[in-house]
Amino acid sequence: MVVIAAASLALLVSACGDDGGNDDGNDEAEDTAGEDGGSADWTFGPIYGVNNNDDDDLDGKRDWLTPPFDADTDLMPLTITADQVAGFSDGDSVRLTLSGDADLMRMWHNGAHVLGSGAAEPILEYTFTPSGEETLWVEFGEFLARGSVVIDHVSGGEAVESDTIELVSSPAIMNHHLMPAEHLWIVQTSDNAEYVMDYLEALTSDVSLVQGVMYQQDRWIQDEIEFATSTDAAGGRLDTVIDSIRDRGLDNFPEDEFGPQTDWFIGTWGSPTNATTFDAFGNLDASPPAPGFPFGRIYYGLENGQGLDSALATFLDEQTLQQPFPLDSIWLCVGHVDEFSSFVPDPTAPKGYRLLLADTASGLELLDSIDPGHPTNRYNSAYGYATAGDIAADAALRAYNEDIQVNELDGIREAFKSALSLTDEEIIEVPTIFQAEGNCGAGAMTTGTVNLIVANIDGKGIKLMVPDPFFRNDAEGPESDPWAQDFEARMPDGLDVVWTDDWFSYHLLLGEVHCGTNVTRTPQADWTVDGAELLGLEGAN
Amino acid sequence: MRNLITQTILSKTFGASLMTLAALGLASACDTGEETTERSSQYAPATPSKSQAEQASAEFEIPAEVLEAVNAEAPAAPASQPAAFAGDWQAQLGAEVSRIQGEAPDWFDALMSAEAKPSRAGMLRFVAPEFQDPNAAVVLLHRYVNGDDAAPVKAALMDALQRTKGDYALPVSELFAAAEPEVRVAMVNSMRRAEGEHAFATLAQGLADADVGVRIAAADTLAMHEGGATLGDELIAALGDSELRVQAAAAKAIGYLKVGSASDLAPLLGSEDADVRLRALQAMERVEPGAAVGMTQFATLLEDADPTVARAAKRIAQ
Repeated sequence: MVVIAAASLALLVSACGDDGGNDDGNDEAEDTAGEDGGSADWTFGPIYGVNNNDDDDLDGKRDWLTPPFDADTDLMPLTITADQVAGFSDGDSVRLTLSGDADLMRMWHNGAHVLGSGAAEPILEYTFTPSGEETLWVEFGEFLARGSVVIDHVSGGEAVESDTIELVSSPAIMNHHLMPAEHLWIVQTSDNAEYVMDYLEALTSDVSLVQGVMYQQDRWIQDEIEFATSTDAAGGRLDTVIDSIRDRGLDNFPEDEFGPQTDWFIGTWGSPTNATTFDAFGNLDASPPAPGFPFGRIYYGLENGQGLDSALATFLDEQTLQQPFPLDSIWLCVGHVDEFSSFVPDPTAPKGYRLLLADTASGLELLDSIDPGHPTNRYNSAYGYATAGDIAADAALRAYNEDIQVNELDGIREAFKSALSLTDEEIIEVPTIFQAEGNCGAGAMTTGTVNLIVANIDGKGIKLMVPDPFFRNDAEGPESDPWAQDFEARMPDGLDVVWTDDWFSYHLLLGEVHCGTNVTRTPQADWTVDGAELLGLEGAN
Repeated sequence: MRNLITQTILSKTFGASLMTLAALGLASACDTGEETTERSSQYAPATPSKSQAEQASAEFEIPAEVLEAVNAEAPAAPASQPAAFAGDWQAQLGAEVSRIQGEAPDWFDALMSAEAKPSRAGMLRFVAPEFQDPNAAVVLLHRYVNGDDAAPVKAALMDALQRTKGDYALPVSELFAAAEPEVRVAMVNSMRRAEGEHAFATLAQGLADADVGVRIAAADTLAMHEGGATLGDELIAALGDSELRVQAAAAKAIGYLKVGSASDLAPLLGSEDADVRLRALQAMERVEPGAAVGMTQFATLLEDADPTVARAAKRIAQ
């Protein structure tokens, strides 16, 4: 397979010595190459791989639980070249000494398990006599497993040459909103034909329809799964489906769609018995890159002990690169961070993007600027407001939204600014009016336009799938809709806003477009380089 | 959380293919000296998922069932509208049901058999356009009274009433006492835009309910109700509720409705609960602007341990 070929190549090149090998950053002081009889530098590059928890042989078991087989693409080679052992005398040997997460990695040699996990206790030392070039295979069993192996040339019982090889597996790196989109999924239910049509017309074969009849009409596909990727040093990639403990109708969807499969891993952190609304993944997102965080930062709702399950929160924190920060989402009926925040690309912005934040102050301001007689048919049927003026004149609704701004959204804005080093200019306020959903908490009354999907498929422009506000008569289109027009005016140039009809099928059920979509995306940054400092990699430049 | 896996691995021979690839890689790179370690600017797409692979191999066409669903027509609604309930509402309900069954039998059947949909928050809702008709209130009440739906569905039936723009306050006020707590919450919520004595009778029952969730719902509904001040005295009494969440909801309602006085709210400024302090402070500013600043607790609120409370106090101080 291409991936392993490339990986093999990169690692082997590093073993070629000075010609074409990478500068692996190993501590030269530890290298004693050539001083005591070696004919080539006794230096070896770091080994950065992905964990072997996909299912290359499609047997339903993770490959880490299976002895190696021909088609397993996720083992990384450690090669000792013929040149490196050319100067070995009779009786000389190679000794490998493993340390670190020895229970989360292992090495194979000539088909035998020689180091690390796999026995009752991890094997920590292995000695063999090389007969020309030798290749050992390194296998990782977990995200961000870290260790090192000291490789000694032993002669006369003494180590005459020595090097230390860093062994690290890729962390799980959660997708953020702006990575290039690859494919989208929405659920086709008995009642969302307009929504499906809007998607198919805009994205054609780049969107798959999940049959709702198979999944109890559970349309909230954002909530069931979150995607993450792991990569190796040579461009290989493992996609991870973080499967929520929410376990509603779509519970079996990840297994049906993504498993068992080559290059896919499905993992669950936490127990369904502890699941709350905060464990749905509308409440878990990642920002684009920010200063100090080249992979962005994860954010989720967590306040006063209510929020994302601690098992998953701990796992995400352990991945190190995208240091999570909490936001207050418990004031919302659904309680998800995607109800008030998103990001859109903007090449003119300092960081290349802007944060979209739901903003009730802007919402009230926009409301006051609209002709009071402007008809709002759908708001009449659903909420009892026949005109824009009726909404604007509702003193209690106004007070409710003023409170949301100062009690909740202002604090969230400050949290984002602090966590991502954002200035006010990098934030776009998205006018939103919330209403009380009984005693459940707040829900967007004007459609949650911030709850959008960035469909930036390579070569196909940047489409924003945005819930249509329907702030107009039904006979009119978004071009006659002051709420829609205001949104478009606030967006950066170059984005194609696709107004998506989610009114009856999502909005009135307390969700919007983002809640009803999921997307795979292409990783852009290399954790072995861009993440080296955060991870403290020793072997990287 | 690390998933530690311990399993004895049997030694097996590696396949030749990996070894061959490795050997070829070494030979190629070492012979040519080509730069192979340059980082990838873009990682190759993963193995496609199952549906993604299917899509890629198929000619794109909008599925016929999608086109059919988009163009489908809903059953025609009744031509006439129901009268408001008064007196013997059950007899009236029966008569209205007969009328609707005569005028629009398919529409009636569709509503009677409709399945409530799980909202994103988990509670069930009836949200189809057909329910946005005053006649739907009749069908919802009929289904509630005569059906065998479970409590969550009954709650959804009551929740849907407010989107019908029909009349339902009298029947709901009389059905209230016998309903399950989650249904009573929905009944209270359904009074958000209902008018007249029966609506406030239900809300008053709600404020006095044994279930704390119902009491909160009643206070929250009154807060947003145009005529909520009708139960101003009851809301002021609710400031002394044994449940802190009810106190906070009542304080919020008092502020929105501008009933009562700063002195009614003053005791809550020293509450142990941050949300109660916050709601009382903000309500006081709405009821009697400037009054909070003169309260002895105000200096403490400026330095409140809860940042939201402190921020609110500072804003008022400005």
